[in-house]
Amino acid sequence: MSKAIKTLKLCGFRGASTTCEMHFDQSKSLVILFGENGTGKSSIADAIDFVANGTVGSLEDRSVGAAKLPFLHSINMKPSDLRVDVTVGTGCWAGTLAGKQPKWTGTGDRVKARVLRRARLLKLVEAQPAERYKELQTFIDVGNVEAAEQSLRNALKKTEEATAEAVVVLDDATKALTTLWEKEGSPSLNAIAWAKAKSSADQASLKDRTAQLESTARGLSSVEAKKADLDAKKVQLATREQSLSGIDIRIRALPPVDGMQAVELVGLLQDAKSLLGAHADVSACPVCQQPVVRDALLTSLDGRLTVMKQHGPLATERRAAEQHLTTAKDNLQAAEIAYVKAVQVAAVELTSAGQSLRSGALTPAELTALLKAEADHRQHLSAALAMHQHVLSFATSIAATQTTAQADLNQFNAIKGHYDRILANRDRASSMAKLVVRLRAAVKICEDTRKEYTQGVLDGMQSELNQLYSAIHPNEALVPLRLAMSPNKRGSIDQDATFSGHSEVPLQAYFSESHLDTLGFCVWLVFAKRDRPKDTVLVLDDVFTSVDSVHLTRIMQLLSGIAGDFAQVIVMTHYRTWRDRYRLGQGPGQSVQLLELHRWTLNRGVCLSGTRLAVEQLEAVTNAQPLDRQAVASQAGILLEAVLDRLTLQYRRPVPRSRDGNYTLGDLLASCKKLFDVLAIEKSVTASSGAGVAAPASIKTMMQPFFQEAGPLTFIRNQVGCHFNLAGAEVADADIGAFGTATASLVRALACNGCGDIADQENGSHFRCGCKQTRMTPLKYS
Amino acid sequence: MIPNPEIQPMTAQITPAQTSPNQHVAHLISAKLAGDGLIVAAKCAEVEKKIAAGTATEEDWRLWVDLPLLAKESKK
Repeated sequence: MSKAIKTLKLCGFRGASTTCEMHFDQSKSLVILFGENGTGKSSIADAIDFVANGTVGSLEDRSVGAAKLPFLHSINMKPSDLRVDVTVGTGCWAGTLAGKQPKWTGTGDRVKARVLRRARLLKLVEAQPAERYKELQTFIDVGNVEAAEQSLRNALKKTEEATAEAVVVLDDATKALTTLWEKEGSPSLNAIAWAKAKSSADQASLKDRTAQLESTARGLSSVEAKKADLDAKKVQLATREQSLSGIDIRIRALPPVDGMQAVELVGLLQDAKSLLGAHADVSACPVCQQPVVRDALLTSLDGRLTVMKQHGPLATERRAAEQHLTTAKDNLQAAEIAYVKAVQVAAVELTSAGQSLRSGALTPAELTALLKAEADHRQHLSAALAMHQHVLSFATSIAATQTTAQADLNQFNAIKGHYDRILANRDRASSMAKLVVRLRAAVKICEDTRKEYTQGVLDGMQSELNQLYSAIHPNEALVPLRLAMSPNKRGSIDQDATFSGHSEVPLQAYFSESHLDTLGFCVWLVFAKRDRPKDTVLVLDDVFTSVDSVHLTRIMQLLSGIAGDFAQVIVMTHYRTWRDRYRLGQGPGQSVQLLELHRWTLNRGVCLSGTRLAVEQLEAVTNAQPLDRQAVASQAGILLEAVLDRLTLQYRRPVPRSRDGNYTLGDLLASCKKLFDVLAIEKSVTASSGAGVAAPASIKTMMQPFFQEAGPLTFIRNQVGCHFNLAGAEVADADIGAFGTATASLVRALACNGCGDIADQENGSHFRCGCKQTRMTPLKYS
Repeated sequence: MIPNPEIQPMTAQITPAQTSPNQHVAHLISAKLAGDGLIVAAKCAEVEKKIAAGTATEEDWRLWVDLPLLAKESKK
């Protein structure tokens, strides 16, 4: 389904102060909309932009303040009257103003359009690299791939670092192992082989032996410590005993009673006083049960205690001394047990460590009993003391053996540690080095593929851009144009050219304004071609203002050539020449829809009508009744002049030189007479074969008969169509009609049935038209 | 540009059959990686998908690139 615009209806939009509706011929992809300045071309372009892209169109570039919407509706209408309807394919969409906000509603396909205005041409060329990138981002942005590539680079970097780290560890371990190996006198083939053999030793038995020796050494130390403690406890007990004896001597020395008794009595009296004090109802002695008077007894007790008060402190002191003595005895007893146990443990450890104990002062039975004692260790104290020196005599040899064993274990651990690190890091470094190589290769593939793709797209566009530009400006020094990703800036595209052998020159520095215009147009066209062209309507709003005749011809050819690539191309122009070229057979008018805008007024708004090709117009007036003699003669003459003028230019035919450069129809006829003798047109037709399959074929027509038919009648143009001439009245209607018909037939025979153009593109031995359906020979004639 | 909630972004009209540059390049990369033996063919789809989405992590890459080596080692 074509995505070309079918109808466009404007009401109250910009210059459309009344309702204006236009219908587009769906069989023609190129539309030329001619209108003099101020006839409403931009209003139409803006209307398409409004519905397609939601913009205010050309108002964007006008200095009317920040708010553009108030100027969108026609000056004689209300904003609510504004409405633009666009039908495309299956869709119909409308743009309106709801209050101060634009609103778009519709169903089905919505017109997709790109509108180019003159104001934007230079911006396209002068856009910053980042803006240019933004325009193309949809086609070349591979941000996700770049993110994945960055992860890959990080993986490579970290793997490289880990590999280097493994190599350092490997080197350090190897150096350390070599040092150990050399210290050992470099036994075995090499350090690794030596370490391998050493590492296979029984580490557990080494550890067990060291632990055993440690335990034995601890046992011997314990014997010494416990013996010292035992001695200390003995001294303490003796001190406590002396203290108690001293107190007793002091008590005995107290008068008048026996000191010892007094002390005991004081204690008894104090206890009795405490008892009576605590119980108020006591009436009998708790000891003898004899009746007593409590208060009297208390008074008596106080009296006796006062007498014997000097015995009190000594009594207290003695009780404390007794307590201390008891504690010292308990401590000594515990120390004796601990000591015996320590000797027992040390003896057992020594035996386990393979030392042979001599009984010495003990009988073998006593020694055995000591070693096996489980309870009442104190009874073995004398045996333990007897063994004391003998047990401790092993301390030196045990310490020496322990040192050797620990050194062996340390050596083993060092060798095994270095050897294990070498093995682990040798494998690790090796496998990671392989991984690094592969990751590096993967990074290269990612980077190259990404860059190739991006540059490939740009190269394609660059090639297309150069092709388009060269089609308009062939054989010029300022090519080729170059598009490339900025090497030092992400998301930027550089654009430059080569000028006379100097590469990367900025375009703006050397291009003329018209060249920059053309380039901007080509850049825009290339961008447009990348974005679903078959769904896109291109609108050129009076873009070319300073184009000369030669370049206009090339632009026309270019547009005819690319129109088929898009859904539709609508060219708006104020150049009447552009319209007339198509109309008068100077271009592929048959494949172009010509529309014409008429003078704008506020009351009439935007007015337009279709424009007929000159040949169609001639055929219409020729066949009309009554015959408009002057119109037929005039139109036939002008059309014939236009066609012959083009042929004389194309074949470089001589014409009489004139001061103003204008040639008469007679001049042109004379110039082309001999050419027509050989001029032949070959048109492609689709012939149906017997099998019903269409086969390409062509029909060749010699142009000479058409020339012979029209040539003799050309006097009618002057006599009837141009000047006051009484002789003209004598020309019959039939002759005038014949002139019209012959001219129309000549033009029809000469022009392509497909595009309506005269074949003018050199192609091998002949000229070919833009749509390639028609050939013209000869290629050269002199 | 006037903000317009009723207009669908143009990208939404791209049909599923069209591939984005990310998808296209991801496809090329995974095919080349597999072609050079840097990843196993069975992982191509996963690699392509994660590259196109930009979600491939460092660990993913190590695993993908290491896998052919591991497979080779295990055959020895």
